[in-house]
Amino acid sequence: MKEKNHDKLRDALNKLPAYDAPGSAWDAINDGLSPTLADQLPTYQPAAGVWNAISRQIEQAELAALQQTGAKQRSLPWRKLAGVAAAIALLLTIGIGLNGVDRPAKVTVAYHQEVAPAMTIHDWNTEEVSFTNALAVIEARNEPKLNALGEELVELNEAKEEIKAILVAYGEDASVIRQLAEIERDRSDIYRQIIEL
Amino acid sequence: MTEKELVAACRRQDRRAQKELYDRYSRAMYTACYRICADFDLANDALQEGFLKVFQKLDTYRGESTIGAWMKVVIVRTALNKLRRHKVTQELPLNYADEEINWDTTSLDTEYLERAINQLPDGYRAVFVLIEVEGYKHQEVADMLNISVGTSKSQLFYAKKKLREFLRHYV
Repeated sequence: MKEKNHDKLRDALNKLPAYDAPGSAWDAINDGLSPTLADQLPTYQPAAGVWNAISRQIEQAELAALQQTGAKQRSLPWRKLAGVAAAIALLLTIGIGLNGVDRPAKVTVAYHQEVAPAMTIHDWNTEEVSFTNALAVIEARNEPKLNALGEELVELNEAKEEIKAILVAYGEDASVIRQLAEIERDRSDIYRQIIEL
Repeated sequence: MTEKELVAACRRQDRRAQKELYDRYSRAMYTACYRICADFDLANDALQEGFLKVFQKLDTYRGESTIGAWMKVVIVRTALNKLRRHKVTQELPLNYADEEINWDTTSLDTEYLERAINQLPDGYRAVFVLIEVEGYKHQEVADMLNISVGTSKSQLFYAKKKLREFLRHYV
């Protein structure tokens, strides 16, 4: 692009007026910089039991969904199964027929390498120190209400040990892990009650 | 207070320092917003939103340019976003390298020029103002508008061509 007398444009642009912002502009900026009422009010942490309740409901919903899927699979109609079987039989017949045709033998070797997952067992003992300390405090204070909670905690500890033994013996079965999670939730509920007392 | 001290105080959320920074730069920033938006209300909105961004993002200012230049980029970008219609106007391909624009030997009337700039389509006006008035390079404009350098150059050409036409009508 060729431009003639560009200096005339430049001169005129330099003379363009400047404008002052309206006085209200700073007030609006100032308001924007000030913390809102919501920022100033305190926030609150929900009780620990809330998450346990939510977690329980999620698990129940998952279990119900699993059971529904199982039921659906069980109620697969016989007519459909018969159709599938007939289709397989037909394919086998065609396959056998084609095999009869004399063709040179073609041998292929396929292999696949997989890395076996490392044998690790989930660590369920991360919070044990807190529970041991709680039992020690109960013993020291020797109050009936605390003692009752302590007995419950001991029972749950024993149940947990049994489940852990099952896990070690039979591997990480989903239903056993669910039971263990349930026990952990009950233990944390009791622990919370002990702290509140 | 020096600019460095002023910036440091603004970073500490010192409201008086923030007002001082605003007072120093609001006229230049407001004018730039108005040039881009061609509308005083929209320019006011862009200025407010832009200054809020400046104060909130001040920690990211590394001192590589002057605070004024850094602020102008933030506020100009806000004005371009406010415009929302700054998409470049599509034109038929034209070999503008051979084209010529003649601004005449007589002085241009500033009032007419301002009116003519405001009449330009948003995309043309944005490129023209950023390059000819605010002094940005084609590469900087391309980055701001998310277009190529070539598009920025052709938009500037079309903007000037249209401006020349408008000014002929005024005379």
